[in-house]
Amino acid sequence: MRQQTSKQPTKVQHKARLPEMAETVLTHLAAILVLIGTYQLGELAYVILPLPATINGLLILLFMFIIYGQIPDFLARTVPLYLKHMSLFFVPAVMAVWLYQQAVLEYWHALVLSLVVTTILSMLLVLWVAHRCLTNTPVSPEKP
Amino acid sequence: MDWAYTVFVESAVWICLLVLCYGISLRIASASQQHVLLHPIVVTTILLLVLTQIIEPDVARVMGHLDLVQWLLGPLTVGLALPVYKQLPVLRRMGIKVVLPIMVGGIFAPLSAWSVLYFLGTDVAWQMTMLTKSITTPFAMDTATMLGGIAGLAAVFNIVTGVIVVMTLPMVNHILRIHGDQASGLMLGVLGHGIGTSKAVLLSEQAGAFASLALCVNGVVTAMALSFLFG
Repeated sequence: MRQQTSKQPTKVQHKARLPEMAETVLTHLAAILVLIGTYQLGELAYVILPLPATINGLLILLFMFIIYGQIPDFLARTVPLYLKHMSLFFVPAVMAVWLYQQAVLEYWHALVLSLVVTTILSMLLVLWVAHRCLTNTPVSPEKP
Repeated sequence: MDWAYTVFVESAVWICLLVLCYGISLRIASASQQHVLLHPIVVTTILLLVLTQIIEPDVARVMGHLDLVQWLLGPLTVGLALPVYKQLPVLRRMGIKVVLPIMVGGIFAPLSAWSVLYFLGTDVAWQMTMLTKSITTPFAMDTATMLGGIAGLAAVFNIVTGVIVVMTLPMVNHILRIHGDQASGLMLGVLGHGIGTSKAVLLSEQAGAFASLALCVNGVVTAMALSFLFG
């Protein structure tokens, strides 16, 4: 709706729209191909470094950024958009919880203990350590 | 031929339904001011499970139809290199001051959770899965698979952990009488991964920055350490 209202002006702008759209599509295509390619490279790299393909891929891409000195523009413009909607891609896997209903009911006490209690204990520990580490910095405005 | 065509159409329909449910869950999340219990992952999954019970009660089959979406999560996870790269200068500047708390959390959280399951004698696959509960979800799923755990359960444990971290944050702040944005942000990122980080962003910009730093470092380092140790 909003796009239609801003679409009215001159013919020149209207003509410029098609190449612009093609460019956007190509940018996305290039970004997706880079991500898939790096992921596949990460899978191959398993022989050298036995880590999950995603981590290997991430390390490869990270090294490429470090060597290049910055994030290439076409990735910087597209990838954050995908990452914002990453939750969508978890859903198929999370649905598996339905298949484990019985086991979850069987182990529920262990799960509650290990998820709730140890998480809270970890939180106390990390917050305390983080506070000790960070308050020793010269720029610490707060004092208890 | 005919069979392949049916599978293709069914997949397409389920992917459309997934995107539709996700769109609805985004609306719900923004209407509830991003309440943790109404996180898009939670709402989308519930909506889709309800739909499966109406349309096709065989959840495993529906998951098969959504294989493409799940496969795309792999390349997408590689894209996390962008936020990690952006954190590098901060990491270099802050050094040990941020690395130490992240390491403490990255070691204590999985080991304590694992030891509970170990001593209560649950399945080995569940123990391995629990080790990944505090690293960011996509890494957790991959690492769990690598360790002989269950990717789906890893995602669930992960999300539950994130929700617990966000919900108990005020209590933990109160007990320790520590309310600093930096420390809270760091803790939210280390233990609450993506869900904790979105909460930190709501707290303040600084808390958000520390949370994403912690998320990136903990995700990469812990996933690597777990794979080397148990893989």
